[in-house]
Amino acid sequence: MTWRRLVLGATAATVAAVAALLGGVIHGSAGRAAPRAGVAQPGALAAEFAASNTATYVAQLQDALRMAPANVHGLGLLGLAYEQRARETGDPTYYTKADGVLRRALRLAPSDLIATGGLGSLALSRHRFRDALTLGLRARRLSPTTAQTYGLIGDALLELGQYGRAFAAFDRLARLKPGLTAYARVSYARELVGDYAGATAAMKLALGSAVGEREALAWTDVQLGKLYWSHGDVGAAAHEDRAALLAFHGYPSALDALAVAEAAEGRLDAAIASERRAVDAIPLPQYVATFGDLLARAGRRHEARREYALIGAIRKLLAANGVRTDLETALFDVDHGVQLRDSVALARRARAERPSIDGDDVLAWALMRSGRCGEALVWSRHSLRLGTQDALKFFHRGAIERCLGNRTAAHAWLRRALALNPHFSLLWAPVARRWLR
Amino acid sequence: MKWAQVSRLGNPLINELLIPTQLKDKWNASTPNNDKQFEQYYSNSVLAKLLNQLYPQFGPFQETNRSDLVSVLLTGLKQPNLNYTGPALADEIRLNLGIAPTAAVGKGNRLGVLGGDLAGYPNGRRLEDDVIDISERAVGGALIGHSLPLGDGVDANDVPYMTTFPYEADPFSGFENTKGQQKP
Repeated sequence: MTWRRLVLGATAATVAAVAALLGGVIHGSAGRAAPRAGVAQPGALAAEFAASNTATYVAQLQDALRMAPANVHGLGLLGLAYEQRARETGDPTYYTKADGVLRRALRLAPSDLIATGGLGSLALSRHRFRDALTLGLRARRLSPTTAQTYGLIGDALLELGQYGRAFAAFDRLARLKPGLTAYARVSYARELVGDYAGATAAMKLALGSAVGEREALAWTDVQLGKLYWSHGDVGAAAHEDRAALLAFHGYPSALDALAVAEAAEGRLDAAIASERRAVDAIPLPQYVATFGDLLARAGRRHEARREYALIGAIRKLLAANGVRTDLETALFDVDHGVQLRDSVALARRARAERPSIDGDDVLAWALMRSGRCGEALVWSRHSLRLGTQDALKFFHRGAIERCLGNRTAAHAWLRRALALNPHFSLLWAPVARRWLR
Repeated sequence: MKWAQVSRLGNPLINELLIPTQLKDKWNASTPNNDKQFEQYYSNSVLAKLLNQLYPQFGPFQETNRSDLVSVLLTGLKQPNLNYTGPALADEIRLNLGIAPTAAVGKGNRLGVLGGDLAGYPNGRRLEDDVIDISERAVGGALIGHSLPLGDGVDANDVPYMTTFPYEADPFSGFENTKGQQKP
């Protein structure tokens, strides 16, 4: 290798990597926008992502580090690049790699901002929200003017149920650096407090800031689609999902969202085909669960059971790489009637770790499904305390009221769920309809 | 509508190469008249430090007291008399209109002043000025007698510039991107 090329690797690549990794990390926002873990399956998707060249950055940074193993900046960037690879491929072993290099950077330079923030976003990805908050606050002490840190802090606070503090962090982020990451989080915050129009307006601003970056554009399209979906606008949701797929061919989260919309339009075969593509690209547990639900809806129960069985194996791989999935596991088990007795304990543990309205809701649902409806009602009330317009949470409340024999209240909540989004759940929307007959 | 400044650009690569990570957003939100607060990062270059770590065989690269970088980037060059604008420190592109263009669009020396072409960067900035190579060489010490042929290996645009405004060649389509594709 000529030394001319070495300089390219060291400086030009560093410039590009800093711009790409610090400038454009859009996956860090929380809740349904949160980075999600999965299992690797390179191939067509990897080729799509080659355009963003993260794999090349990884190789260049590794080369540079071979020459200067104690280069803290290089270690930090490599950690961020590994996190990006995890998002691109769904391979959770990248989390372990990121963890290793970021910790090494921090041992060499305990107050390095990139390594501290990188470990924070890694903790978010692994659903270790208390760790993420600690690291976010440490990063803020290192640099109170760095906008992205407030995204990290706010995302962690949201999952910990500290909404006032989370919204304050997002406000600070939006004042320091209005842009895609700020608008998307403002949109999510407004959605949480039931401001649908405001949430939609902010997500459209986010979409405007994403133009020119394929993955960011596709991601934002899908988020806007999910907002439309939450209020039952199937056509508008499917339109955004297709726009995302135009921007980014084969984008898995767009395929996953499109599948649900296609099922709502009554096109079950198309839905199964779309979800199969999503699962083939990145077998995230939630995609696999939806795939199973679609197969079950089509009467293909044997195939559905095979997909459901896969989820346990994926979870083990995630856990082996430090990802916590208790809340998702509890919801899946409760929804599918698996080990109902254990799932109350699991949901309690998950809620203690993640005391958000989603944690409250899953615990309420687990309690209801095992017949403890009085306690379930307390948690359901808690899960709706922000005024969030979420048809699934309305349905859970309706089921709990029904279980308690409050027929009028039950019907009111079930009707509210179906009025908001008639297709809110593959599994439960038909049940809500049946209960109202 | 209240607007927020989220970026600025005078000389190229200042934020990327000189300003430390924890101050990058602050720098982007600040204005050039307050650039004295960042002087230490010009005079004590982290990039020079990195060059020493990576290429000890080509060093030493001077890491501190880089008044050469402070003057070329923050006040303009007095010696040679190029584009000095006074003692106030501000990151700006400075163009001395008294120096006539030396070549047609796209035909100047890509290394600008370092290549002996006084009509090029850092005296203004032309399309053909290879600012990555120029900046690397400047940080490497080109203005203080430590001249090395540093560069990124890209010496010219891959398509010709236009001869009329806006001079830049047509952009590539963002939706037919072939740059990163693996070819057998």
